Amino acid sequence: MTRLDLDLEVVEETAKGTPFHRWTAALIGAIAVLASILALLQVNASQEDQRASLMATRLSTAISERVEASSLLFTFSGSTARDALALAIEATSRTLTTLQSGDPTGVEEARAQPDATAAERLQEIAVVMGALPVAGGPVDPHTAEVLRADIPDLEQMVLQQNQQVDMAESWATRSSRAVLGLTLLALAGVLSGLAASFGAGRAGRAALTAAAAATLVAALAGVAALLP
Amino acid sequence: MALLLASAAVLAAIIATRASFLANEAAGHWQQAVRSEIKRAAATVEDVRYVYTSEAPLAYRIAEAQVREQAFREAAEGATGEIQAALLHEADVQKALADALIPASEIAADARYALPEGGFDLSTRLADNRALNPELLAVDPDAEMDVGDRVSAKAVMLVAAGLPVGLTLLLGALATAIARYRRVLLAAGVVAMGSAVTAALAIELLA
Repeated sequence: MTRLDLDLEVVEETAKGTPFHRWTAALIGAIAVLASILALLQVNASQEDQRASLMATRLSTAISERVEASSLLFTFSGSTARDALALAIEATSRTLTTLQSGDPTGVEEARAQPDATAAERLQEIAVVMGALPVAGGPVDPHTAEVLRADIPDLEQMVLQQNQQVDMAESWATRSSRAVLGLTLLALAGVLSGLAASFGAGRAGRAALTAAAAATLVAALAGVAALLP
Repeated sequence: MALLLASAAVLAAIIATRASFLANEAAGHWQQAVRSEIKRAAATVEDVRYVYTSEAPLAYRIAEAQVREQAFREAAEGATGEIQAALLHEADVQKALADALIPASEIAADARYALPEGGFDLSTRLADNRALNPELLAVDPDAEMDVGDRVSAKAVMLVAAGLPVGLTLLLGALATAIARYRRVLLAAGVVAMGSAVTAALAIELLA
């Protein structure tokens, strides 16, 4: 934030009404106007920079949250599906082993069939227990959204996060240009004061010329601050 | 003339100071939104982790024992003799296993979570766990972000209201150097100053 100060004594020095003093007064006024414009550009760019930077941080957190939470659910879902499948394989293995080695009492073969039946039911139960929360279900909307996040969702969020980072960098650059302009304006203000003090002599004209040059470069910095 | 220039300088200082406070306030809200996002994420992940890695595997193990018990009993109904006895024995084993595990599982011990087709309703369990900390459910980073956006817009608008102040200073400076148009320049400066004051007040009170 840049404060705009006007040296009233410097203005008073220009009150003699000669062309030199009129130019000095005009330059001081122009510096004041340009300073107010650059201050606006700088504040806006600085705010946008901070916002985009913090949004990028928020999105990073949100992406991590979705990756971590959904992976917990998928891990459980995969684990239970594997267990159900293992039971089915065990039942089949029992049947095959019985056929190969014989089963005089028929007990082993009889035990295989219920496990195969149970395995089928368990596969359905694993799907139900590992199901994603539905919209409008008992789970709160945020948690449901986090758990339902899939790869395209995450890719979209990563894209947004990268865009915010790029925006933050762009706005930071624009803010720096505005600050450069304001710094040059401060220098121009000092030089204008010196010009007013020196008067219309060589030193005064040199100071005024330097002040005008600094103001011009500050204006260019302001234009640059408008560009992304 | 000096009064106009001094007033403009003072107004510029007031606007700059107020805008600076507002800009800082906006940044504070945005940073709070980040903290809220982290807080909400940590709470969500912890609740999901607790349900799906601490509670759910045991509940599924119980569901498995119950399903196997039922399958063995159904098979035993169509069997006789030694085979029936073996199947019933296995069903009893699975029942004993389920009975032993159920007290350790808040999901399996609560009939509200039991599903008619077997297994348990983990979504409802997760919702119940989340509801234990309503203050964490109420965390809303977007709301903080919105407040920050509004305050930031106010700060920028207030700085924009400083533009006529710069114009006032220009006109005042020219009035000191150009005696011929002094009255006109001063009048224009007063108008610019008035518009700056009006705009600043309007933004402060209405935005």
